[in-house]
Parts: sequence; structure tokens; C-alpha cells
Amino acid sequence: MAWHNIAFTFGSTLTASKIGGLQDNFTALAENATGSPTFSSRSTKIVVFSGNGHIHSGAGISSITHGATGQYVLNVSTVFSRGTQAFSGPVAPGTFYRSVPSFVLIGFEANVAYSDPSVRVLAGANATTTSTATYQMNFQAVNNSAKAHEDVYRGSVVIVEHTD
Amino acid sequence: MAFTTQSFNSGAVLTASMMNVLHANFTAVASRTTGAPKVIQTNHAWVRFSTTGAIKSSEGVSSVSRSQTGEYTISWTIPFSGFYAVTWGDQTQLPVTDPSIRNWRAFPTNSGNVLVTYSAANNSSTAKEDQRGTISAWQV
Repeated sequence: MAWHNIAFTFGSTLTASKIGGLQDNFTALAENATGSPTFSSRSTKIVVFSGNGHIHSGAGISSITHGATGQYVLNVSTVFSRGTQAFSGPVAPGTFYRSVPSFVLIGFEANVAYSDPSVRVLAGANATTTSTATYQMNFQAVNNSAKAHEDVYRGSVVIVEHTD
Repeated sequence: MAFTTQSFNSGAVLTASMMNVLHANFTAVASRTTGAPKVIQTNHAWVRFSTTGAIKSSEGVSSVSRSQTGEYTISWTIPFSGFYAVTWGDQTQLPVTDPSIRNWRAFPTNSGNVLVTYSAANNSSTAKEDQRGTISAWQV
């Protein structure tokens, strides 16, 4: 449902259309319709995806590229802002560009038994990048004898950006 | 307070009651009452709980129950519809020199709750641990 931009002017007739638009705006605001006011702390990019990169549900993520096992690239609908980051030292001196989502919350579902001993982590990767259109991730499992990349059963990513 | 869907017809009298209902709908949407438009891309429930599963603070969470070491079920006050995102954090009291890696993991969610387990591993052992946690759930 589209957001209605309504103006009320002194002396003009208050119409059913205007009041109806006001009622419709509850849904438009809830559903983040184009033109609706920015909802503070609302996630600008959010996705729940499966191990092959299929998007179960999401907003602000146009697609997910599944590379090697456990590796995912989230392609965003609207690019991140970009900041500069200067490095010094012998390893990587110079200036790099870094995509800067304000904060990222990450979770995952693992369809394994309680007894499974591994600790698993779904994490952002390769943060220093010139690309502002992607967010790279990997999923790994670690235990006392081995570590490996795995395809996640289901991943969850919530990105909140400073939109002022 | 319930959300009320109203229609306004040209020529009909606009009553104080209708305007009051319109005004009350702000509260209904904000408090996520039944029938209100679902506010997407926002956090719908979160909880901070102790190692025993006692709730320290929360919104939208009806209970946390600990079933065995490191395993907790978080039940939502209002069930989710469709897929939702679950994210987390922990609050260990371990020194920074602790060698283990730790994390939560969630089992496949359902509309009413999610089961999470906290695990630790280092190069010599693995274990489930009770942990103080924060879990948040977002409507996609």
C-alpha cells in the first residue's frame, strides 16, 4: 500500500479521501512503503537465506551469490555509504575504502543434534573493500580436532544503517 | 487496544468517535496488537537471560526455559509469521586470555519459539556451557 502525502489547509474541505489516506498510512508505514517516514532503527537490509544462497525472505538484498562451500556474497539493492580507512605499517600501507554498514547482527540455524561438538560462526568477511554493493560472509565450524567451511542451514543477517 | 480498520465515505458525517479510533490506531500499531499492520524490518522480540534461563529483561518474550547444559528455549509472546531473523550475543565472565571459541547456534525456528545451544571449543576439548545470553528476533 503506497504512502499518501497529505496536506491539510485551513479553510479547505476535509474530504473522505484525505481521511481515508490517513488510515491507509498506518499500513504504509508498517510495510515501509516508498515515501513513508524513515523509521528510526528499522533495518534497511535484512535477509533469511538457505545454504545454497536462496533468499527465503528479505528486504534490501537483491540476491545472494553462493561461492565455495560456506561462502556467500550478499548483493544489496541500495549501496552502502563508503568511508576511507588509512593503514600504515609494512604489511598494507596506504588508503583503502571500506563499505560501512552502521551495524550488522548475524545469526544462523544449524540442523544438528545437541551432541554435535562444533562451534559454528557465520561472520562478515573481507570488510576492507572498494565495493559498496556487496557484503561478504563465511560460515565455519570448529572443534578440537578439525575446522571446516560449511554451508549454513539457514542464515540471518540484519543490517541497520545510519540514514540521516 | 485493538487496531480498527475504518473506511470513510464522502457525504457521511465524520464523527468524533471515528477520529478517536484513528488516533487510537497509533497505539495499536506501536504495541503490535492483533490485527494491526505488521511493522516489518524491525525487532519484534528480545531477551536477556541468566545462565539458569531466568529473564533479566525482555520484550515480546513469554518465557525462557533451560532444558540441559547450554540449551535454552525462547518462546515468543506473539508468534511470528513466515521467516524471521534470530541474532544473538553473549556475556561471558572469562578472561581475555581464555583460549576457547564460543558461540550460540539456533536450531530451525518455528513460529512460537526458538531453541538455542551454547558451545565452546579449543584445540583440546569441546563442551556445552550455560551462558548469559541475549537473543533478538526480527520480523523480515
